[in-house]
Formats: sequence, C-alpha cells, structure tokens
Amino acid sequence: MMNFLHEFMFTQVPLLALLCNVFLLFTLLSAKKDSSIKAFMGLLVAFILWAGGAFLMRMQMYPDVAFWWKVSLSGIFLVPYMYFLLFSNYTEQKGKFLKVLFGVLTVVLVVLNAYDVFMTAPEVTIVDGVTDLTYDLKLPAVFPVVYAVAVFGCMWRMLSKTLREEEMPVAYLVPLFVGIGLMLLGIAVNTMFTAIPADTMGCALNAVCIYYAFYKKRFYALNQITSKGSMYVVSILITGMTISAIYQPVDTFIMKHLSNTEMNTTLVIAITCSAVAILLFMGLNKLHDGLFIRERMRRDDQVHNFSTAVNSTLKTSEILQRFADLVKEEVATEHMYICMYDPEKGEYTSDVNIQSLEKPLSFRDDHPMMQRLQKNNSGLLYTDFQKTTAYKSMWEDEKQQLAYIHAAYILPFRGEDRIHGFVILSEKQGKKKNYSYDDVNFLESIASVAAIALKNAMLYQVLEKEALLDPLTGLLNRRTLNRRIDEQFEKNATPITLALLNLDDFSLYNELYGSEEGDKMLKQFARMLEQAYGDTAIISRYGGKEFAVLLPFCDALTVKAKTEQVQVLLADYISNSRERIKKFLTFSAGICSYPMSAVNGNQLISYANMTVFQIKQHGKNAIKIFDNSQVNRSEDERHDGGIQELTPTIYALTAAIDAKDHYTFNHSQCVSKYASQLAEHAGLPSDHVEIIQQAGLLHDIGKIGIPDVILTKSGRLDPEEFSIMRQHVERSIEMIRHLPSLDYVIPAVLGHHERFDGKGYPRGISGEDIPLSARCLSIADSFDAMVSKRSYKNKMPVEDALMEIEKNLGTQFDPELGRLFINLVKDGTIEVINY
Amino acid sequence: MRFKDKLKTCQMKEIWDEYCGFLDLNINEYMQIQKRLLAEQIELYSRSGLGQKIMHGEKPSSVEEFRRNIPLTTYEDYADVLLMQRKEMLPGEPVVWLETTWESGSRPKKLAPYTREMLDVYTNNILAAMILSTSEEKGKFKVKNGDKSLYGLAPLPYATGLFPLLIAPEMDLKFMPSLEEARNLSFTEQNKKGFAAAMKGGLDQFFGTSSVVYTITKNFENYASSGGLDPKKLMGISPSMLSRLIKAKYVCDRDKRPIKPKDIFDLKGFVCVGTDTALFRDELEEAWGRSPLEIHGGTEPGCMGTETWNRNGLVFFPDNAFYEFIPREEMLKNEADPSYIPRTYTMDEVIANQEYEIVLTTFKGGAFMRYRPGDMYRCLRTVSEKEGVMLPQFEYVDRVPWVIDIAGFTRITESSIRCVLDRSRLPVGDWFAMKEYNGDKRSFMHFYVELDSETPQAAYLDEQLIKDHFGAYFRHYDHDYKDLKRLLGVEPLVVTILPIGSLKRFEERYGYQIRKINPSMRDVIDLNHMLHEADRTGGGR
Repeated sequence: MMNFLHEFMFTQVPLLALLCNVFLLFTLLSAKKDSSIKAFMGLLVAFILWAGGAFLMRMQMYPDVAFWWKVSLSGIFLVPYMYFLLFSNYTEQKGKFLKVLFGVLTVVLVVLNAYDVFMTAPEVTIVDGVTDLTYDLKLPAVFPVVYAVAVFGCMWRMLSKTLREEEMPVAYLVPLFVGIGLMLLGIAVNTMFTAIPADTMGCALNAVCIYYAFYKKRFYALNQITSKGSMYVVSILITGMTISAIYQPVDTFIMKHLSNTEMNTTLVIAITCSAVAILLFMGLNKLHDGLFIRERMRRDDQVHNFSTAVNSTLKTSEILQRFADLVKEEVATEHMYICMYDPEKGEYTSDVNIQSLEKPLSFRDDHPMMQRLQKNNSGLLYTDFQKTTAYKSMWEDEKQQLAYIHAAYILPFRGEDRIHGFVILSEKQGKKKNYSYDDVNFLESIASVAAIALKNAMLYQVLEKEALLDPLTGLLNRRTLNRRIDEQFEKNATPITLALLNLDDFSLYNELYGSEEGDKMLKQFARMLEQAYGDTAIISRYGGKEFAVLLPFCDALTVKAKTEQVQVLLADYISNSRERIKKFLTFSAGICSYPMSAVNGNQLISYANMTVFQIKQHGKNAIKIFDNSQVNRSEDERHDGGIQELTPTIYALTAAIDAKDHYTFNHSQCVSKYASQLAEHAGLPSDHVEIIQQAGLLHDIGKIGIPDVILTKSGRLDPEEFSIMRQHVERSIEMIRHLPSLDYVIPAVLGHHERFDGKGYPRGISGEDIPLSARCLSIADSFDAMVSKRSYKNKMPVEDALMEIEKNLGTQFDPELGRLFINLVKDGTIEVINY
Repeated sequence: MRFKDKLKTCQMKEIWDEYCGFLDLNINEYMQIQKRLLAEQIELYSRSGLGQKIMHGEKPSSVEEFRRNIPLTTYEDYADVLLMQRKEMLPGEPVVWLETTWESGSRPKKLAPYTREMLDVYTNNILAAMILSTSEEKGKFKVKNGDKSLYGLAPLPYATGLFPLLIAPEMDLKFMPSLEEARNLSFTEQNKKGFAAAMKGGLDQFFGTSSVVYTITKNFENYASSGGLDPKKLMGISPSMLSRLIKAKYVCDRDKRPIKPKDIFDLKGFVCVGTDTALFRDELEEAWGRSPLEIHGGTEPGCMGTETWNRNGLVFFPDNAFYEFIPREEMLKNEADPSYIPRTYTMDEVIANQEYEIVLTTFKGGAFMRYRPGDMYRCLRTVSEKEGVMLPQFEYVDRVPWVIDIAGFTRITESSIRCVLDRSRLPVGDWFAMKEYNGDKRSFMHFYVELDSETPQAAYLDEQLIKDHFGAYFRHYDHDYKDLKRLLGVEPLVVTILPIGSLKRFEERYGYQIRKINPSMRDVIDLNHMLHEADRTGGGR
C-alpha cells in the first residue's frame, strides 16, 4: 500500500502541477497580451516543462527517462531567466543588456544540459517494488547554481530599486514574493525529504500566486481571461493525462488484489477511466461555467434586458428608474443620486432621489467635478477626484454635500455634445466598500446604454413639447388647448371659464411696424397673459392674433378682473415704449363660463368667440362676459355677414364725403374703378380686387375732417395748409379702424400717398414695402387727379397724364403696375371717366 | 487616507499629482481655482460682521468688482476684532490663533485666526513642500514614513510652529527632539538637543529658519562635537552614524579641512523658511550637500509658496489665498500720498522682472481681505518652459521699504526707533536707518545719527557708546531684537555718526528729505559724497 502511495504521489503531484500550469497558460491565451503577460506565459511554459518532464519521466514515457529528465531540467534552467523577464516587465524597469546576457546564458545552459554536462542521466532502479530514479551531480553543476544566484540577485536589485524609488507599492509585489517563497520552500523540502515531490507542488502554487499578482494589478479581469474553447482543450488534456497516469498503478492494483477480474482488466480500466473522464469533463465544465461564464453571462443578460427595456420607452423618468433598479440590484450601492441637465436652469439637478434629501443636489457646468467628468472618458472615482488639482477649487459646501451623501463613484450619461446627466453612487454595502473593476465595467456598460436611451427620450420630449406649444410665444397651441378643455371637463373643475382675447387691428399693426415687431408684440403679450392670469391658468395662442385662457375653478367675474389687468399691462407697455412713433394696440376679450353659460367645451369656445365678434362689431377694445340673450341675435347677425353687411357702411361713408365735397366723392368713385381694374389685370385674386375697390372708395374719407377752406381752395396750398391736408391719411385710418371688419382696407388707404422711391408720406416706405393695393391706388389716385378738373387747376389731357405717369415710373409709381396702367388706358380697357 | 498610507499603497506619480499637481496647471487653470475660491470667500465673508465692516456692505461678483469696490487693508483694519479674538465677527470658526510681530515693541502681537479648512490646506501645502524638498526632478521624491527630522523653526504660536503638529497626524516623521519633549524646551535647547540626536541616529530631513540653519552650519564643528565626535559621547550612536563619523573625520583630517554636515549626513530633504534664504543658499548647499528648498508664507496667509525641484523661484499655492500684486512704483506713490489707491494685478497679469508688494485675501473662512502683509516679491519669470512650470515664479525681495527686517526675526519701523530714542534719552538730533549686510551676509540695522548740537554731553558720545546704549534699550523694548543676539549670536546694529546738519544740507541740496527708514542706496551714496566734499572743504563736525 505504501508503495502504491509513493508511486501515486510521484505521479499525481507533478501531474497536478503540470495541469495547474497548463490550465493557467490556456486561460491566458484569450487575455489581451502585453509584454508582462507574455513574460508570465513564458514562465508558465518553463514550469510546464519542469513539471511535465518530471511527470513523464516518472511515468517512464517514450522515448526514455533520460529525455524527460533533460526536458525537466531545461524547464528548471529556464525559470530564473523567465522570472527575470517577468519582474523587469512587472516593475516596468529597463535593462536590455542583462536581458540579452541572461538569455544567451540560459540557451548555453540548456544546450549543455542536453549533453549531460551538469548531471548524469537518471537510472531507474526498483527496490521493493518501488521505482526510484538515481542520478549524480557533476562539478559543472555549480555553474547553473551561480547563474541562478546571479539572476535572482539582479532581480532583487531591480525590486529594491523599485521599492526604494516608491514607484510601486509593496502590496503589488507581495504575491510574487509569496510565490517565490513557496517555490523555494518546495525545493528545500524536496531536498530534505525526497519522498515528497514538494518542488513540483511549489511550482504549481507559485504559478497561482503570480496569477493573483497580475489580477491584483488589473492586467485583466478574471472573468475575461478564459473561453469555452480553451476549457475543452484543458479538459481533454487533463482527461488524457489522468488516464495515462492512473493506468499503470490501477492495472497493478487489479492484478494484485482482484485477480478474479484479471480477464476483464482492460474492460474495467476502460470503463473506470471513461467514467472518471466524463465526470472530470462535466466537473470542469461546471467549474468553468460557475467561475467564469455564468457571472459574465448573467451580467450580459442584464445589460441586454436593460437595453431592450430602456429602448422601448421614451420616458426619461422610466429609463432612470430602470437604471436605478438595475444598479441597486447588481452593485449593492448604499444610495444613488441621479442628476439630469436642466437646460433652462443651466445646471444638473437631482431628478430621481432614491434617498430623499433635504434639498435637491445641483451642479453647474463650472463645478470642478463636472469639469473633471467632461475631461474623463469614463466615470470618476470620488477618491481619485479628491486627489486632483481641480478638487482644490471646491467650495467647502460642495465638499460637504458630496461627503454627506458618501459619494464614491460618479457615472456620467455621456452624449455626443454634452453630458446629459450623471449618477452619484455612494459606497457599497457590506465589507467591500469600493467599486471593483468588474463593477466599474458593468456600470459603464449600462450607463452607455442609458445615455443613448436618454438622448432619444429627451429628443422626443423636445419634439413633443414643440407639438404642444406655439413656437413663437411658447404658449400652448390650439390643439393642446382643446385637449386641456376636455380634460378639465372630465375633471369637472367647475366653474371653468374661458377668456378669448383678440388683438384689435393686428394686421394693421404688422403693416405699420413690420412683422418682426408684430412677432415681438405677440411674445410680449403672451408674457403679459402669464403675468396677469398666474400659474393656474392654461394659456394658449388660439389663432394668429387670438389668445385663449382657460381657468378652472374660476368664475367669469374673476377672469374679467384678470383680463382688465392685461388691458392695463398692454396700455402701460404701449405708452412706455420709447420709440419715436407711438404705437397703438388694443384687444377685445370675450369671457364665457361653464356651467353658467355654456354646457360643454365647444359652447365655451363658441360663445366666447361670439362675444369677441360682437365687441368687434361695436368698436373693439372691450372686455365682455357672454350674455345668453346674445345667442339668437348673434346667430342672425352672422348669417348676414360678409360684404353685404359692409356695403351700406361704405356707401354711407362715401355719401358723407359727397355731402362735404362732391368732387372728392366723384374722385373716390373713379379711383376705386381705375384701381380695381388695374388690380384685376395685374392678376390679383378677386377678393383682393374687391378690397382695393373698397379702399378706393374710402381712401380719402379722412378729408371729411379737413376744413372746407383748404379742401376747396383755388390757389396753391401754403405749407401749413398742405400739412393739414396731408393729415387726411391718418384721419382716414382713424375712421376706418373703428369700422367693424373693415380694417383690411387700411394698408391700401394708409399707403396710397407713399412713393416708390420712399419719398412719400405718411411713413416714407418704399418699393415693395408699400402694399400692392396701395401702389394700385396711388397710380389711380394720381391719374384721376390729373385728368379731372380741380378748384386750383384745369383738366390735363389723358395722354399728358399718362406721359407724366411714365416719367415717374420707378420714382413715384411702381414701374410694372404703372406701365400696365398706361397700356390699359391706351387700349381702352380702362375707360376714363369725365366728371 | 493619511499621507503615510498613501506612501505605502499609492504609486509615486499618484502622490506627486495629488500634492504637487498644481505645478502642472497653466495660468488659466490656476486663475480658475483662484477665482472660484475667492467667490467662496466673498460669500462667507459677506455673511460675517468682519466682512460687513471691511467690505462696507458690498458683495462683489467678479474679480474686477472686487478690486474696484473693496479697499486695501492693513492689520489696523482688523485689530479691534482680531486682537480681542471676537469669534462671532469672523467668517469661519477659528480652531487656532497664531501670532507674530506687528511692529516690534511699539504694537501688540498680531493675531491671526485659522479655521479647520485653512489648516487642511496648510497641511497639504506643507506636505507638498516636503515632497519637493526631497525632489531633484519632476515626479520623483524620496519621502519615507519614519524619516528622521530636525526641526529648527520657531515654535507655536508662530506659524512655523504648526508644521510638526500638522504633519504628525499624516505621517510618522521622527522629530528630534520629539514634539512632547520640545514643548518644554527653549528654541535654542530644542536645536541643540535635536542636533545631538541627529548626530547619533542620522538625519533625513531638516526644516529650519534660514538664519538659524546658517548659524548652525557656521558653528557645525561645535554642534558636531556636542553630539557625537566627542569619544565620551559615542555611547548610543548608531553603527551607521559611527562609520560615517569615522569616515568623515578621516577624510577631513586628510584634506585638512573642517568637517561639514554633508560629511556626516545624507540629507534627503532640506526646507528653509525665512527672509534671508536666498543669501545663504549657496553656502548651505555647499555645507549640506543639498540645496535648501525655500518656502514662504506668514502668520496671516499660512504656507503661501514653495520652490520647485529646481530651486529657482517660488510658486504660490493656488488654494491658499487670492493673490494681488502692487507694482513698486504704485506702492511708493501710495506711501507718499496715502489717499492714492494703488492699482493691483492678479497672478495672470504680473510681468517678469517687476517688483511687487503682495496683497492677500485668505481663503476658507480666513479673516484677511485685500490685506497688505508688507512683503515684496520680484517676479522672476511668468513661465518656465524648460522646467515645464507654466506659472509665474517669484523671489522674495524684502519687507516693504518702511520696515527693517533682520534675519526674519524682527520688524523695525520709524515709530519703534523713535520710541527707543525717546526712552534712551540719547541726544540725537536727526537720524535715518537702513538694512545692510556684512561680509558674512548677515543683515543688520545701520543707524545713521546726527547728535543734538544743543546738548552739551553729545560731545562726549562716540559710535560705540551710542550703539551700546541704543542697543540695550532696543533689546529691552523689542524682544524679537533680543532674540537675534541670543539665538544667532549676532549684534544687529551698526552706528555711524553724521556731522551735525548733514541731513539738513542734503535736503537743501536735493530738495527732499532723506527717508527715515531704508532710504534708497542712491540717496545714501549722495549723502556720503556730500560729506566727503565737506571734508575736502573743511566742513563737518
């Protein structure tokens, strides 16, 4: 039995050492190889030769014991050199000369060993059934010993230099020292107690120690260094070697003790070996999966599931919640604080608080930690950040804030242009407070996934916001308001009141001051509404110049009061304007309440609208609450609307002019006719032609206010009289703007004394800035003035008048329209009226 | 993590970057730290009673506003609050009060409060200086936990007395004598005892006031024999020190030269504090085998600046105080006309080869804002590309011209001299005083006097009598002045009697009075020239 054990130890221990080294070597095959890893692999090869040679020698494998003996010794000779390479790489020391020198010496030793220079080849002796190997040292054996001492001496010098200069903490080197210690101890034990193969065992333990040292220095992650393929190869090797190792002793054992099964020895061994092989294979597979694959696979699955989940939602809060859940589950952090960028505040504020805080965290872009994050490509260990110069610029409050939440790791959601947000993770629960390499890798992975999802979600939110809001004023748009009205009715937030505010003569405002100024005014008006109605109001831009304000739980009188505030704000704004020309702007507001007046949302809008319409009909610039008695009347009025409704007004006005000054009445008729014909032939749409026709009738309506002495003066007007005469344009506007629904003629009327070269009045605008209708009126007005008899002049012949127009094309008149007018008169399309 | 743990577990580069990383900043990054911490200080200051008083209710939001709206200050502006230690008026809770000379003898000691946060910064900056003192190239240093250190700096309540107390919790620096023992010793005893211990057990680092270190170096053989060279005292000496001593003795006897510190000690770090360091640098390097690293600061700002591994200029720590600089011309203009407000420049605005008076605003709840401690610096260069330091580097010039500083111990002003003269009843008619250096590079006060023609006994006075009499009164009046003799063994006074009426004639000839304290060298030469003319023409006393 003792013999069997002796045999067993001298085969199994070298085999175990060999397998251990082979296993380590294979696991490193898939690691990213740098010079240190390569040096380690070289050392493992030396160990494999050492242990493998010893094992195969002991097994007396082909070709012979001497061959494997030399292989084993070669391995031993290689060890010092490989150690030297490993240490010089590990400690990042230079020394090419020594590398080459020791390399050459090692090769010489190995070659000399092949010729048995250092030892005699072992002889196999069998004493009491125990196989033993005997060999003798030769004198030259002192050379490899001296060589080894020299190499280790250099290594020691290298290490002490490294330690002295403090470039590497001692802790990094401890596993290496322990490994060497075990190896030397093994050799020493083996020398003293030859019955124990401690040298090969020391060799195996040494390899494990080096392996740990590399892991500690984070040359690789343990779960990244092996593959299924390498595992199979290792399994096959182990199985094969185990079979070869146990065959001999088991055969002997069967022959000796189980002679009755002698006939079936081969069969028994084959079955036993197969069973062992299968079990070993399965065991290794399980070990492999358990140690390396399962954890990685599980985390990969987590990342995959997380990716799927967050990419299927466009809600930021949901993404962040999922992220927080996953981090809590996987990393066991004590607390976590998620801060997202708020573009309006220009800072990062805590969004989802897993741990509630007295006040939310906030970080501006110029916060030193943020600046560090922006520079870093990855997350930031807070302890690392504390060592930076940037940390010096932290305020004590900021330091305390981060200390209070035990900040340990800051993980950014990095977008292409900026960091969308970040997570502050506090220390981990349990004994190990620090984040491991694997934790950091995992966190970085999910943060990358989350960053993409967040970017999409934020983009969607921007689009969604754009769809909800009016882009100019930032208020809700009409569609959103309608939805909100429905929501309020569903909530039954009674009373619900709607105010509809319609800016009076806003097209005129645009015409007078330009659309840019008009836009500015709209934005300003929106701010006034927000100021007057407060946070509870749902304010929207309902149409071009129309705003709707919905106030849940608010009665009509309260809303009217608030609307009056808007009136004051607008008046203040207009009167405080520092511009040269005083502007004018008013609004008409209709207010309707549910359930007092309307029965549903549609009626609310409809009745408010109707009230506005009625205000417009009666002089504008007023605020009225809807009265149910209006309903029938308004409906009737609206049926009669349109041009028919306006025609009597226009004729009434022209009749007034006729009464005041007959000539002006005729003139207006003619201008209306000439201008509308010109517009028609210029290709303007019929409604526009109609506007020009009406504008022609009304263009001199302001002359009603001009004193008769000036109006009918036979001589030339003096400058003062001319100045008064010129006021007829503004007077016309003042009159027309109080006419319901006639404000569309104002641009034409206002511009009929403007000149194409900008020298006209009242505004001095030029070219195409003058409305087209005004340019038509201008030509018609001048032509009729020339061809008709006035108190101060006689008629001018039509040809002369046309020549005069032609002469002033491009200066006073629009050249294209003027030329067209001349042609139309010349070919008789426009018939000249004599009066 | 304490510094000693970092030495064990962190790589050298990590430690260097943490403590000396500020030397890698460019001026913009440096100013970013300065501005940020200034903003914090303004915030803290504006909430305090002292802040309200100094800032007159202002709360500047930019450096420009700060310079425009906040007045420059001197200690007088703070005296009522700080001398009474009125904590409730301060922007931060003080944990220690340091003191220093205000105006020797004529004013009480200045007190300066330090908050916990200020001490943290102080600690980091002291450790940075210690790292740099053992460094000869960027990124490499030799500090080890357990290093033996000789400590030759003034004890508490002076600012330098904080050094060992701040370092002690961070690492096991073996001070000789130990901190407990040193508490019961005078400064001189402390130095002697420490030196004796170093002779027996060796020495790795030396912190010292430059003038004290220089004295020790000059008298090294005396110190050495008191420690170890005397065979009677060889008991307890370590074998390595014994071998060094024997070797040093042999080499020095062979070469027939006195024994030097470098023969016995293999110093790793050498930190010098004091106004005269630059003067002694070469001799100290020659004697100790290592160039001293100069650090600068004061009671009010703490450790303000340090030299780098090349020992050729001070770099100011960015987190210690907000620095402003008054050009010399502006300073003189302001001295001549106190109503004139001198312009100040920030670190990114200084120009090479210009002399500046420094203005400080302490950070982290410190008490001083736009404070003029009265120190002059010269900007040597604004960047040092060769060295890779892209920040301005300075050298200490002296105190402001109206203060005579001798060996960093005392600050003599016009009023203190007047006071001593009054007390001594010496028949002095007119006088002026200036700081000068002797052949040993020792600074002293040169007191030029005209005797009073109307006092009969003036005729019996000579320079030695005046020196003895005046010196005795000065020692009685100013304890710092007395320490000069006691600690350094120097007599910091030289008296020259001027012919009666010399200064009056000078004024008549040149149209202005010679300045009482530190007149310009040109004026002194002109005065001498005028007196020699008088000699030739038969004038004089």
